[in-house]
Amino acid sequence: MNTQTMKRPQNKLIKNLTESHSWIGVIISPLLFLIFWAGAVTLFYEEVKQWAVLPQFPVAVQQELPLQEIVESKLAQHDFDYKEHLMVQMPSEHDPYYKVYLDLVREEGKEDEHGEVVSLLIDPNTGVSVADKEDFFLGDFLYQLHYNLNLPGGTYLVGIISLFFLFALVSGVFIHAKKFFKHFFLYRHDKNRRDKLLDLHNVVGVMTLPFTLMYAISGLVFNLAIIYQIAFVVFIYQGDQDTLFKDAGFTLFDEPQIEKTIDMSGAYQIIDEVRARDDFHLRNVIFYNYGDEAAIIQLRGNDLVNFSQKDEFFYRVKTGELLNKTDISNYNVFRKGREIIATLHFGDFAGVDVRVLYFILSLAICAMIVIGNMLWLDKRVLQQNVTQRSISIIRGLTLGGCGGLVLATAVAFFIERVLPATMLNRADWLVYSFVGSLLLAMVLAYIVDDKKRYLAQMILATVVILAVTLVADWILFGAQLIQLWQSGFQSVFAVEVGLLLFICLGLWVVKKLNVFKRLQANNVASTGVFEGS
Amino acid sequence: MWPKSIIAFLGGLLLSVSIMLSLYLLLPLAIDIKLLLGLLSGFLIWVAVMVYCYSFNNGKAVAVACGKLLMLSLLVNAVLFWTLPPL
Repeated sequence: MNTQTMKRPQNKLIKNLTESHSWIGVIISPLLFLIFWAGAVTLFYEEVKQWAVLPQFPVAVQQELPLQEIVESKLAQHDFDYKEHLMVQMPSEHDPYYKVYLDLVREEGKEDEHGEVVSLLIDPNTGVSVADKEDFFLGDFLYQLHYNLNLPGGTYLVGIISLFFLFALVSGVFIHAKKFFKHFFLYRHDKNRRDKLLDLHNVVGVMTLPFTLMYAISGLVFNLAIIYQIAFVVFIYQGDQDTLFKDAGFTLFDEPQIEKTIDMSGAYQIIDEVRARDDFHLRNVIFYNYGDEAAIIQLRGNDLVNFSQKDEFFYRVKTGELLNKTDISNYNVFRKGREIIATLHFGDFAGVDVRVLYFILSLAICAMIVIGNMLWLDKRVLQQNVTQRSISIIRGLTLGGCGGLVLATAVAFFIERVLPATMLNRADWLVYSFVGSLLLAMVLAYIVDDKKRYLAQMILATVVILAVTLVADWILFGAQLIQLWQSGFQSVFAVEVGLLLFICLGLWVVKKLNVFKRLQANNVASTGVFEGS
Repeated sequence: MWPKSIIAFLGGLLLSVSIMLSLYLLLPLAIDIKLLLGLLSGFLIWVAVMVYCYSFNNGKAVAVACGKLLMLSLLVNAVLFWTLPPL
C-alpha cells in the first residue's frame, strides 16, 4: 500500500508529461520537420549555391583585377548612396566571385525607408557583373525557410518551435529516464509495429540527444534572444541599447561624413596586406563613408589557427590607424560564446565530413519526427478518443507535409537548373514551383485513399525529378562542368553525388515499401497508419 | 491542454526573465560573462518551468503553482533592485 501511494505521484507526473510530449510533438511536427529538412540541405549552402551559379558562369583561375578597380567601376555604374555602407564579399578557393552589395539612393519622399540594395556577382578576372546574386535563389530560399520560413515574423515562430522542441526533448528524457541506459540500443525488430516504431523513436532520440539539445538551444539563441535583449535594456540598462551592444562586444562606428573627398587607395592597401596573411581568411570588407575623409573600413574573417575564432578589424582609411580589433587576444565572452554556438550549429568547424555527419543526424531527426506522428496516430486510432477529422488532418499533414517537402525540394533543384539565367523574376518562379508542388502533395495526401502507395509514388516522383535534374545538368552544361573540374571547383560535383545518393536511397525505400508488387498480386490487406481508412 | 500550454509558455517567459535578472544582479562576474550566462540560463529556466507546469493535472493547479513561484521571484527582484546600486 505504502509503495503504491509513493509511486502514484511520480506515475501521474510521467503520464502528464507523456501526454504533453505527444500532443506538443504532433502540433509542432510539420514545422519542425520543415526546419530540420531545410537545415539539413542548408548545411551544404555554399555547395548548393555554387552548383546553381558556377555552371552558368564558369570562371577560370587567371589574374584577378585589382579590387579597387572593380569596386569603383560598380560605383560609377550604380546610383550608390554614399551615406550608406558598401559591402564586398571576397572570393574563396571554392567560390571564385566577388559579391558586392550597394545601397542605392532612395527616392524622394522615401528617405526614411530602407532603400533598394543591389547584390552583384562579379567575375574577378573581368570585373563584369555576371548576374544579380539573388537570381540564384535556391540556397538562400532553403536557408531562409530554415530560419524564418520565408514569412514575416517567421524568425519568432521558428524560435517558439525551438522552445517547444526543447520541451519535447527534456520531457522525452523524463519519460524515457528509467530505460535511458538499459534500452540504449534496444530495437525490437521482431515485435509488433508499435513496439518497433517506439524503439526507433527512442533510439534515434537518445542517440541524437546532444545534437538535438545543441540545435534547440542554438535555435533559441538565434531566434528568441530579442526577449532577453529587451529585458536587459529595460531593467538593467535603463533604455540604453547602445551600451548593451557595446558590453556584448558589438562595435558600432557611426561617424558623420566630413564631406571632403579622399583617395581610397589606402583602404585597398590594408585589404591586400590582410589578404596576404597565412593565418587569416578575409571573408568580407565593409566600407563606411566611402570616398570621404571620415571613411572607415571593417574587415571580417576567420582565424585559421584557433577554434571558432572570427576576427574583426576597423581601420581609419585616412591615417591607416587601427581603431578596434577583435581577435584571440582581445575578445568579448558574450560575442565569442555566440560565435561558438553558431559554429556548432552550422557544423563548419571541421571538414565536409562533419557536415555529412550532421546531415545524417538531421535526416534521422526528420525520421524521428515522422515516427512520433505515426505513434500518435496509432494510439489515437486504438483509443478512439480523437475525432476522425483530427486523425485525418494529422495523417495528411504528416504524409503530404513531410513527404511533400522532400518532393518540393527536388522540384526546386530542377527549376534552379533548367531556368535560363537571364529570365525575369527567376527567383520568384523557383518559389512558386516549390510552394505549388508542396501544396499539391498535401492536397493529394488528403484525397488519396491508399496512403502507403501514395508515399511510394511521391518518393518515385522525387527520384525521377532528381534524375532528370542530373541529366539536365550534363545536357545543358556538360562543357562548363568539365572546365570547372579542370579548374578545381569540385563542389558542383559533390552536389551531383549527393543527388545521386538520394536517388539510390529513394529507390531502396520504394523497394522496401513493397507497394507495387503487392498491388500486382492484388493483395489489398492493409494495417499501417499510412494505408488510410 | 490549452490552458496548461498558455500558462506554461507565459509563466515560463515571465519567470525566466525575472530569475535571469536576479542572477545578473547577484553574480559577481564580468558583464560579458553575465550576459552570456543570462541568455543561456534564461532559455533553460523557461523550459524547466514549462516541464514543471505540464507535470500538473489541470490548468488551475498550474496557475496556482506558477503564480506562487512568480510572486516569490518578483519579490526577490524588487529587493535586489532596491538594495543594489544601479549599473
